[in-house]
Amino acid sequence: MDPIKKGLLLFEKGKYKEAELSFTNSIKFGYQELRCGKNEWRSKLGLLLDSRAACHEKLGDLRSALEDARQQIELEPYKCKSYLRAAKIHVLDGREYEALSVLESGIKRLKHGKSKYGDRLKINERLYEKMIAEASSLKEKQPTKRRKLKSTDPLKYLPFELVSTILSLVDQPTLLNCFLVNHQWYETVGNTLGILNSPRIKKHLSLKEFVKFLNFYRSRKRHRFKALDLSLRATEETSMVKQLLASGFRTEKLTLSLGKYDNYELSKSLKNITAGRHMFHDLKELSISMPVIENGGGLTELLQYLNSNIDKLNIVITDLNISKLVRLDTTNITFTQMSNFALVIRPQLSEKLNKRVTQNLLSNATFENVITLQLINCEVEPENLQNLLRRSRRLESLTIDSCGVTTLGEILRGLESTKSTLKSLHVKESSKSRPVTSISQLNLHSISRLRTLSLENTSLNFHQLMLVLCSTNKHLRHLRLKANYKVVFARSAFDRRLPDTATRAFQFREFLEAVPQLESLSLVQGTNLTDSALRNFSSELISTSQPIGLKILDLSMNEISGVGIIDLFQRPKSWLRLDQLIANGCDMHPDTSNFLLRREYCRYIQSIDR
Amino acid sequence: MTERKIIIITSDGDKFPVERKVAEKSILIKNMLKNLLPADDEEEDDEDADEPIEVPTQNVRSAVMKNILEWCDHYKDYNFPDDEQDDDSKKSAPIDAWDKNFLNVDQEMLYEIILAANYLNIKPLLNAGCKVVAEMIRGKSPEEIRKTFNIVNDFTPEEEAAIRRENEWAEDR
Repeated sequence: MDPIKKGLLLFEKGKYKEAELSFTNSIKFGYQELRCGKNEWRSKLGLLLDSRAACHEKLGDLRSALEDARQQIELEPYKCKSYLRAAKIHVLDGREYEALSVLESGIKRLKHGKSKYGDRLKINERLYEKMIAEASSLKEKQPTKRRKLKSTDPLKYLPFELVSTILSLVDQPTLLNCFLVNHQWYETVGNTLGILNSPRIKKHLSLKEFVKFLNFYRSRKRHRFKALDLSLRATEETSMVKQLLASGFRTEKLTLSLGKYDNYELSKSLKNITAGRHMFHDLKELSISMPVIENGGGLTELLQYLNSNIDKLNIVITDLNISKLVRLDTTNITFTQMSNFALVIRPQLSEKLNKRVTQNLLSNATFENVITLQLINCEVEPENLQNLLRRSRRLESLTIDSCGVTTLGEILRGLESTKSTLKSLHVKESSKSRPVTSISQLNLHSISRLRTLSLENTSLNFHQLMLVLCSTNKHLRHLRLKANYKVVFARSAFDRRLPDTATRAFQFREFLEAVPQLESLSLVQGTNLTDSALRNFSSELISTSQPIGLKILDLSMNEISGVGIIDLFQRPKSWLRLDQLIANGCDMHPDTSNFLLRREYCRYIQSIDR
Repeated sequence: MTERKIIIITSDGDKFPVERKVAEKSILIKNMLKNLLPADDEEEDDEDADEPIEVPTQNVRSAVMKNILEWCDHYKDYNFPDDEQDDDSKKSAPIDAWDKNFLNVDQEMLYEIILAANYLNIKPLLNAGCKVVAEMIRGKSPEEIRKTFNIVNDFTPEEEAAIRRENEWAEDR
């Protein structure tokens, strides 16, 4: 079929999107033909563009529709249809004035054409008359129409401070649309930019976009932000960071993701740019992710540009390198008010460097008032960590994840003489060979009020686990145990060793009595956590009727089946009702989950196959 | 002891008799009454204790006042939390269903209610009103905003394109 007819047919059927595609293809082809000198395509193209404009119009894309109409006028300046189409779109867009001027310029052009070419120029007189009629009706209608449709622009009714309150309730994309309403809105919204003080900026910003961002705020004389979150395109970031530091902008919270720019470069820039030093000194929160060069001063050199009262500091090291060229003296820095400190080291290699960076930072920076401390993949010496913990006075939440040979035992030893009482403790031991944990002699007062505990990959046995759990004085609300291989949930039938304290299997009764207030429990990747262990769990749940507040249960990565899981809920006198059951990588049929949901044993079930 | 009557007089001279606790939803009126009324224990000696107190509100016309008083009456036994909540939670809280229905009036009336709530210092009503207007704007394209408020576009396409370019740094979702 003729592609043009096909498009028109689609249009008639109301398939505007498909019709638009069809027309676009034909238009592409048409322009090629026209360029090859086939002039008969000129009028066909006009028709195609007109039809596509109609599609855009139906689809509500008035800008594209207008663009088509413009091309049409350019292609066939003496066709009335083009001008009528453009005028119609302008009217739809609420621009009567523009519509009128399009029609008037069209009429002028056609008149000129007539006098120049006379009868040789073929003009559709009917459409020409229509143009004149519409132009005059627009001219007449404009003032009356405006009177009839009274504008209820809130900007005209409400004082500036109320408008500003209203706009502060609107999200950023809509706010940027408000700029485009009319001149008055543009001005007013621009003046209420206080509301855009935590701008949401595109990810991987290019230099061009970054300059637009700077200009946007500079031209409105806005220099103070609540939060700036910048992730810059790595290839252009050198120039961007320098411009940012020189911009004179101030912010309370800065989140910066750098791909290549490292701590050394950044310290160097800060040394040279006064405005940048001010910006850094003003920060209350800094989250920075970047490659790090160890050159003696390392991160401490950068951190000295921060105010000692900074509240939160988050460092993610994405790459580690060493530079012997620049030797710097280390500086001692004290952050008196810092409540949040996190150090995350990403690269898995270069253990030695990792150790140097970590040691350097932890031995030269002091933050005794820290409340939340997170060390992830940092090669920290146990003694160093213990020193840090001993000095801390207000610590409430501690995360030590895969940090060298540090074990739970060493961490608890460090906490022995601290004044802090923790609310949450997360420990994941690395899989390196590490000393055997011994905790029986320790004073565990620091965890006497613990609410959240997560232990992963530790070498704790059941006996030691119970020592820890009993020290929490039944306060524990959330417990997560994952892959602690010495905690054995059920003995195999062939195991004939005598049960002594060190190899005793998991006793659910003892366990449940130690954690009566538990709300969420994760037993992930447990050793010998099978259906038979689960049956044991189920009967102890009933006989102890604890923990009555249990709402979330995670049994992922265990050798258990749907039968064992159903047993948790279906025994006589079973009271367990969960908000969430997670059983990823278990042998559970979808029918089982449907059954549990239908019976309202669980409200939500997550079960992803291995 | 009977409570003294309060009569609110609007800009067009109409008189609205109201209960004291209804009128006191407006902090402006509450403060006015504090000045006008003597402390409770002296009241008995006061000779014109039976005389109603007239409160003039020059900036509010009767049609609007009727709405305002309906709102105050609905909430007369409810104590709004005094302390200023932090900005973010206040912003994100949805509009109360009753308020939403109450404020489902034509735009001009809505603006007048907002203005009156601002003048009479009725914070919860002012907040709800602002939220309703914000709701009319939120998520809309420039064309849709213009249509909502019958605003004429006075930008040329070129100006529009220039502004769009100005915003290219911004996350658009």
